[in-house]
Amino acid sequence: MMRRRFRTGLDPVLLILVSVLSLMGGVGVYSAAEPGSSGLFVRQLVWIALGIGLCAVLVSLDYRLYTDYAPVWYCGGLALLVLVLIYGSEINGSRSWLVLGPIQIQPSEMGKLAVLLILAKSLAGMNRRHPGTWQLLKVGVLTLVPMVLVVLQGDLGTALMYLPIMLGIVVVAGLRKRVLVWSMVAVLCASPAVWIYLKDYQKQRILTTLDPELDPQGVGYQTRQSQIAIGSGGVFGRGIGQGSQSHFGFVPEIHSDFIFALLAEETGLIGAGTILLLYLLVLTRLIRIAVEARDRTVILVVTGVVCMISSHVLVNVGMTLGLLPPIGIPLPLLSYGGSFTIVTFAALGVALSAQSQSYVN
Amino acid sequence: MNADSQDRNQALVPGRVILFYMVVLASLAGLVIRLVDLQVLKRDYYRQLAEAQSEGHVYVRFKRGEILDRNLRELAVSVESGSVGSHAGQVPEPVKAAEALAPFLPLSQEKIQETLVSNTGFTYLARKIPPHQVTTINALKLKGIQVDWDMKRTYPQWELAAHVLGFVGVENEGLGGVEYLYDGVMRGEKARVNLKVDGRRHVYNRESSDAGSGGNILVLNLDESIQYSVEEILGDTIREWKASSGSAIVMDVHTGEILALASHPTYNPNDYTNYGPEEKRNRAILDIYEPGSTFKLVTLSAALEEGVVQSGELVDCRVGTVRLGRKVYREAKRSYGTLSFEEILAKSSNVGTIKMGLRLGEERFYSYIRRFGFGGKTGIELPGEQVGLLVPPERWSRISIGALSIGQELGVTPIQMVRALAVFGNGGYLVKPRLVRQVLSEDGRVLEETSVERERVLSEETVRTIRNAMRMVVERGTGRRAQPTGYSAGGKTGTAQKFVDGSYSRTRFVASFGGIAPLSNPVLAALVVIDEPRVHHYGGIVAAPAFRRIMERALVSLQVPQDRRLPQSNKRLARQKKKRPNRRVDVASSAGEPWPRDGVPSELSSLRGDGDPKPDGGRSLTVATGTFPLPDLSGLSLREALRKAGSLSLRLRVTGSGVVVAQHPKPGTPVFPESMCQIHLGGTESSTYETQQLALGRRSPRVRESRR
Repeated sequence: MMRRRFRTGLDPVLLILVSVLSLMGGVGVYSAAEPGSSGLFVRQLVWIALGIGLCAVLVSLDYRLYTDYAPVWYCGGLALLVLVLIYGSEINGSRSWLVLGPIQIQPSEMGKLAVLLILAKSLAGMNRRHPGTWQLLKVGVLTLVPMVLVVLQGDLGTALMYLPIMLGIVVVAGLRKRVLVWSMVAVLCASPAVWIYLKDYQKQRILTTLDPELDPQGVGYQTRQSQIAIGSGGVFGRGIGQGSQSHFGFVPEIHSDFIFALLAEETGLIGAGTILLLYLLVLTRLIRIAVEARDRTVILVVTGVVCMISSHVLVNVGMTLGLLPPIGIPLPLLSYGGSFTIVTFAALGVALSAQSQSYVN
Repeated sequence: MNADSQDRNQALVPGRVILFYMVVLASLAGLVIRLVDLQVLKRDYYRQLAEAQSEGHVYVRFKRGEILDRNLRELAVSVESGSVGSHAGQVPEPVKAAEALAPFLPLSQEKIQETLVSNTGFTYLARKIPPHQVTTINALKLKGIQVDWDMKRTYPQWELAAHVLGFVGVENEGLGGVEYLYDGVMRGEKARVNLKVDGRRHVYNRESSDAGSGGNILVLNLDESIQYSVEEILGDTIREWKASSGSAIVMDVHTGEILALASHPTYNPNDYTNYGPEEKRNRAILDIYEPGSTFKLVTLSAALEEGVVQSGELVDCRVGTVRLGRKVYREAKRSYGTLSFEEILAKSSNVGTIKMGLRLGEERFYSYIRRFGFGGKTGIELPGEQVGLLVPPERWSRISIGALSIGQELGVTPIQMVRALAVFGNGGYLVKPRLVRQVLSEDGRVLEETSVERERVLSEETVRTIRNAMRMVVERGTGRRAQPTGYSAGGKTGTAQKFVDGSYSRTRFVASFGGIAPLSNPVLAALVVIDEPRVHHYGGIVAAPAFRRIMERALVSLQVPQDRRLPQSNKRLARQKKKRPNRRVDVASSAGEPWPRDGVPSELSSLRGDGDPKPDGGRSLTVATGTFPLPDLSGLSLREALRKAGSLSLRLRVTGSGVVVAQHPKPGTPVFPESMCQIHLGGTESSTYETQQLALGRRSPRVRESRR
């Protein structure tokens, strides 16, 4: 039993795919750093190593540990989110970081995993074909509470990324089609009301995505520079460390949120295409777990992980390509940043653990 | 797990999860399409954008060419200087930097600090700072402070010839005078400096591409020392008579070379921003004035040339009035009686002159006015020259011919008038006034040279008669105060009421005197125009003394032989004459003869006392009275050596290039002015230059080059 768990647990194909992606991210971070200073690069490598280690540990543990104790993780996550509101440090306009000595952690990223687990647990336990009103209400509250706490930090982008996780899990859990359709209609109707409550800069971001030439020096600057970086990369790229856009401060946040622009500029369509292909393979691999799984909990947990990763990839790449407003979320496994790297590996660990357990049973 | 829950799982998985997968797949495909669109289809567009915003260039000018006078003395030079600037936000410690910079910049510490903190992009803190401060600031090694070398235009003689030279802006672009007109000649090539710029518009790399060369050297016909005298005398005169402004011009009658051109009030081109348009106005080419009696020269010479009057013919001016329609023209006094033709000019008779104008008739008179160059530009090499005011005969009234005869109803510029005066000095030619002598390349090759442009206006016969009449004006007529010491001169006074608000003013005048000298063999024409003098307003009182002083200084400076016995009443000079009678050059015998090498009369040195002693020795006229010790030229550059030799009236034979390493004769050897001195400059280049002393101000270039 133990042998089997380990063989199937650490899916070697997935491990290779994930490692390649992480390495590409490392190269990107290395390239983005000032010549001669390897600080960010080394730190990112440390985070990746820690992430892989954590992933291995989580895979080897019983997945029920995650789902059964989901309320514990959830409450822990909420506690951190409250803590960050009180003791957090403000970086780039958001009060999202807890500074613990040399490291800074971002509880809003941890919260994503906590929400994922509690939603999976709560919807797996229902014994009906479709989730009922109470269940949906419960799911909604469980998602909204941490979301509101993140919004209070001033980080709307990260808060929004809780929604796809909830949506994916609820839909796969059997949400009625008509509820889905009606809620979509409701969202569309509510959007003008939401528009009123958006801050000016948020409105500007949305408007400039629709028309990038609106304000090329101001709000549209970031997106426009990112597009120039990507476009000028061409098919073969300008070579690692050779991108004029990425290296001389034209694209802000090039090592974190806009790392895809750097890699696309320096490695061209080939590199950028490879990255998207690798993501597709990772997601396919994970979805296969869900498809092959017999356990409802496993399916929902894996669905949540897939949702989390795919939504980040699509939104992040979409925003670097100028298709979506820049909302400042990281690209899984590629962007510099400890918290989200660790959370991504942890999520993979949870998913793989669930897979191995489901075979065992 | 029981079978029931297994069924539930089976039911939901394939449908929703696969659906979900499809959505992700489609989205990823959308991203790839966008990626292909940007990276393949629009690659060139974005590549261009990337390059456009990461690359830039600036142009740096090489050294602007100098402006030299006819003796290659420097009037405008370019010196090394520096600029200090900073990029926005790149100064980590603005307070410290401001404190360190404050002693070296013309700005207060607070102002520097404010600039360092608040600027966006690149901002200059100071430009055109002296070279030693560039070195000092560089040595401070302040982070974020950029120090660049720059070229600064400097006018070492300050106001000297300011209106001719003009001035340059911050980018060394010519903004006035010959600096403006010959900007393209002097400004030098542009060197392209390619810049790499980062996202905050900070320059992180700069590389100069090609080498280039400096601008060409402009050699003017001005004579520094004559120009200096003219400006001094003009200023004195304007102050003496509390006049508002004035101008004076000295021109070589044969070649049209402008030896001096002054306008007052004046300004310092090193500091041009502190002066207004009044000071910068070059009145010699821009101010239009009614010439008044000076213009009678044109009327009378035209009448003589056309044969409507003969030399010596008596003209009845007893009535003292001429009536033209309703207008009655009067003499300045009651009546001069019957005057000979020459006396009309000498006494400046309005009646006589108008009669001559009437004899000519409108068409003929007008054509002579035009032939004398009025109503058209002279073509002098200065920007914005005015044409004056001249109405064609079709639009004349019945009294116009009378008014024009005596220099009213038309406006002329001083440069037009001095050119007209020169006609009587050169035997009847209208010459084009020329400020520019040569254009030299940076290394001294002659690129361009101007030449005489002239047209016959009068016959020599006519010129001789008028010249005699002009002599009478100075010796016996209205212009007695214009008589230079030692030289014969001819000229004509002019006193014109200013035309203010539609009628002639009784209180505002333009007093002028123009003439030529020496009459035995005229060399120079000079004109002095004084605008709105107080106390007195007659040209013969206000402007004539200035003319006298200008002619004396200029002719002596050019070492023109004297042609007039000094008045016997001058006891001091008489004594000197007794001591060295053989040194005196006789008027009659000297005409046309070469000037003896050591024959400059010592009396001439007394003329130097005419003006104030000049503080700058190099600027004063060097009037050689005998031998002097040859100075040590070693270590001097070619230009410095030429300059020194020029100020001592030495001729040089130059070999080699670099700095002077040997000279012959040895320093301290007594030499005569105009002696030849041989100097050798280091280097092996076998070129020989020979400079020639300018004798009569109408020689071709001073530097002759023969390459072997």
